[in-house]
Amino acid sequence: MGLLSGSLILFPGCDLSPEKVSRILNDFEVTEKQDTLLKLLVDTLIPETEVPGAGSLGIQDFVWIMVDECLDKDRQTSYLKGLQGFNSNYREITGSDFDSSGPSERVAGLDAMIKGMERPGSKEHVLTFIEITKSFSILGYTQSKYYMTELMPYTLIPGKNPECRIVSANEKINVNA
Amino acid sequence: MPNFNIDSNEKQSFDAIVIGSGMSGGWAAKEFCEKGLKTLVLERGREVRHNVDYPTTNMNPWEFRHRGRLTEEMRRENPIASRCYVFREDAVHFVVKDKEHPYVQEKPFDWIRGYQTGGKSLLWARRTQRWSDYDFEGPSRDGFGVDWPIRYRDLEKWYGHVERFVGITGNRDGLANLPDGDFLPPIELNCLEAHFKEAVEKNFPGRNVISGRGAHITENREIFAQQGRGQCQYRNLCQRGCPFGGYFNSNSSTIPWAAKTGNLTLVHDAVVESVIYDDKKNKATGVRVIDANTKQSTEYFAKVIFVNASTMNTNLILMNSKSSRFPEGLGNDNGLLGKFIAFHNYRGVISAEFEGLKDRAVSFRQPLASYMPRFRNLERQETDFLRGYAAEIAAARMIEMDTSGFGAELKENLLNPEYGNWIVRAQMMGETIPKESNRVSLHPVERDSWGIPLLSVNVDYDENDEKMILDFADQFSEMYEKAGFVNIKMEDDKRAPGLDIHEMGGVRMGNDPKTSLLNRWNQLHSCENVYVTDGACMTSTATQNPSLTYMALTARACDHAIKESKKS
Repeated sequence: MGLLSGSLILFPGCDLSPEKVSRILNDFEVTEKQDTLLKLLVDTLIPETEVPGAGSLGIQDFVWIMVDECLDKDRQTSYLKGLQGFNSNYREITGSDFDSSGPSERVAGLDAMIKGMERPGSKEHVLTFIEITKSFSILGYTQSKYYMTELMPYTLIPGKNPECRIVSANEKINVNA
Repeated sequence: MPNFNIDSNEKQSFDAIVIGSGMSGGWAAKEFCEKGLKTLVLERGREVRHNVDYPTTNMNPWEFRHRGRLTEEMRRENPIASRCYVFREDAVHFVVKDKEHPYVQEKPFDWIRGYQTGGKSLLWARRTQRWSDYDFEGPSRDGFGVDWPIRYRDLEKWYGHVERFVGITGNRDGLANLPDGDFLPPIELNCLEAHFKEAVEKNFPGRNVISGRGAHITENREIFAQQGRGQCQYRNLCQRGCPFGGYFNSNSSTIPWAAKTGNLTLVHDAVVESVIYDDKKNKATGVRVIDANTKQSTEYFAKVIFVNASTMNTNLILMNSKSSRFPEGLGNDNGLLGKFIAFHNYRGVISAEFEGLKDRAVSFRQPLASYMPRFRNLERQETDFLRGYAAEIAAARMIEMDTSGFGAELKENLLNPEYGNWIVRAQMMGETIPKESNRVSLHPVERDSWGIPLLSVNVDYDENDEKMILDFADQFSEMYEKAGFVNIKMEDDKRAPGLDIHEMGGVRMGNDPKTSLLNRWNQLHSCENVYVTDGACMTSTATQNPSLTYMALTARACDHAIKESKKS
């Protein structure tokens, strides 16, 4: 499969296409705007703090791969419709665009969107888009090299049978131990 | 793959031909080659060399494009394989794809296959338990099927022979219903398994919770070093092929062992069309093979032929081996070939939580969980169904990660999971009763890419199985309650037969040629130089994981074949 980034930058003056394509995947193309939106959404879901967030770990790349290759047709179609409708729905609820909101406004906006929507309803696809992005972001983040080496170290070769050990109430848990 | 001169019968002749390189075929290859027989092993799939053709074995989770998940296309194209727990991104290349090898389901049957060197031995769950006479005597005591022509004493030394080479971990529990083997050190029960053991053994005499017995090396020995195999490293990634040879498969063990004798010829992409029977000599003389890629046909000849193609394919080959002497398939004088297929009933799963042991935890990467041998109807018939079930019982401390919310709160939760309750999960492995109506046959019209009739499968559960599932739920609920477990949940996953990957029978052993196909040495009653020692030979299924018994039967039959050949 092709994963083409910024290919149309070669033709800066080209205005035949109303939207610049950022990625050509197997099942669909992603415009630059959509790519930017997803990166911002992923980074809103799992933001940068003293440890890297989903955006700086490039989790949006993983989300696109999973949406393209691992969703069934119905869910993928719904996801892409939700992607289309996301910003206008966000604007309806918050009064501003997603990409011009601050980090805390974006989180509050997502909360408001989730609470304001009912399924089945006209906003069902937007809800699907948010939920799937969130679930793939969590998967990609918790199974990223950074998370599995720096935060929750995974050992490929434990070398011994896991035995019951004594734990204390406030110990830091390694999910990959 | 060696190129044979197909014009020369001499080059095509061997002392023994073994059809299949999986669990039992690998053992036939080892036994024959060790004893000096020039042996041809025919593998219908591609070559998978130990540690060379394990592409995912050293990959970290984040190196998988889909983090272990199947692509939508893979799932859509393979509804059958996708139901199998090993059909995931890390082992997808070792499982047969639905469309490449179709079969006909008269009733739903998930046929899971591995066409490659080592077959399904690459993928197995590695549990090994010996049968006891409670199992061998089952059909005659309970009046179903036919009596086994052998008893535990016939197989005992062969179990040991296999165990010492394979490497079996286990505890010597001294149970009459599950004889001890020649064990390597056990994998200890974890603290919740030990808690459950105590509760069960105190309150339910005759029921036991024991360390899992399985093909993992837990102590270095010379015999393993000679195979180039070392100790299990508890990676719990066996299905990828193990770089340490820590679990047993043909690829790391029996096949290279046979090869280093110089007596092995291993041919891949060799689809066996039929066994050739010579009406004048009154015996089988060889096999007809079709190259999977070129579709060219070749004949190979040998004095003795072992059919170890896996239960269903062994039935298929014999049914397709028609001659004027055997118009209904090789050895099939009584019309019972392909009938009395049985399997294991894995439908019942019961889970629960335990709120104690809050100061203990254990990770999920245990290669073998604990085991409860069959206790039902052991000494006498005590329920309204025949036979019983064993169970695999796994326990671990839950780790809970709150994934609600967005932003900093969500991230904080992803970085700070919390311990939850302990969870325990038991899965039944029920004996099913072989019935004539559970059968496989050659499809009258449909052919595969090599012109061989498709296998048509007609296998189903019966009332006995349904009753057993209910009893499993009742008995385990009671045992869970005694152990103080809460939130007990029983699930019947309604899986189709086949997904247990323990299909057996169709060419069953027995004393009487009128009611069975194979004699006590696994020879066809009416064609004694053909042996069947894979799952197809099984007269009943018991509740043990079957591979160890296939291997022991194979080694025993090889010994018999060698002795017979010396007589003549």
